[in-house]
Amino acid sequence: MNDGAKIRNLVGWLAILSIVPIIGAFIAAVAALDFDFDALQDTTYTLATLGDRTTLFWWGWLLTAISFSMWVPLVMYLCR
Amino acid sequence: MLGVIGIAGGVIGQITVGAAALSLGGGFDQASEAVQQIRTEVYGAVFQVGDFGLTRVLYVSLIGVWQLGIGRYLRAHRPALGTSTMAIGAVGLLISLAEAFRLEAADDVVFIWIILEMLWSVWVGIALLRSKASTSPS
Repeated sequence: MNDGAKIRNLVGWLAILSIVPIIGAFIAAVAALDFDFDALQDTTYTLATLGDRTTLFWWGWLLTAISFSMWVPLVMYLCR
Repeated sequence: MLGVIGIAGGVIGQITVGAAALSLGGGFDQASEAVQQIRTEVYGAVFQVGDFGLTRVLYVSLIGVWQLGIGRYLRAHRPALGTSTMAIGAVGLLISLAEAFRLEAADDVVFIWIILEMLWSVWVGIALLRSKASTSPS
């Protein structure tokens, strides 16, 4: 396998696997708020509800950022 | 380039909101009412900039513009994927405009857009893995 094919395969797998952290992020962020979807939008309610689950909530946002980051090679590969 | 700038905005936005929740949410119950109110207002402001401004408007709109452009290129190699890419890009642009104008319906539609983006990402990934001779996803 040449370098071009290796890079293409890596980018392909990154694109597919990028859905894993976004699913994890969604579960973490919503689980931290007792699966109350509306609470995600209610900033007043969020801090009062989180309590000792702030770390879990933080992981939710961090995983979203990781998922976004995994798209960078895809964007650069398709635009090259 | 627009896609990378959009992603950078989204990443910064998401990390900022998470960090704000982590730092302001710790010991929230033990804080006085006045401190709780200040923390809530600060978190609300950070949420507006990070999640609303950087992610829902900047990230979604720039990714939308990028997908419109790259979809046009992909159509020459894979018509179905290219057309779908342009359609998802157009939906993203409309959602970011609706968010910018504070239309409540955008909050519900954005979840459908996220699911479409996930399916698109898997589709492009499979297309790249299945392409053999060419270096483009054909």
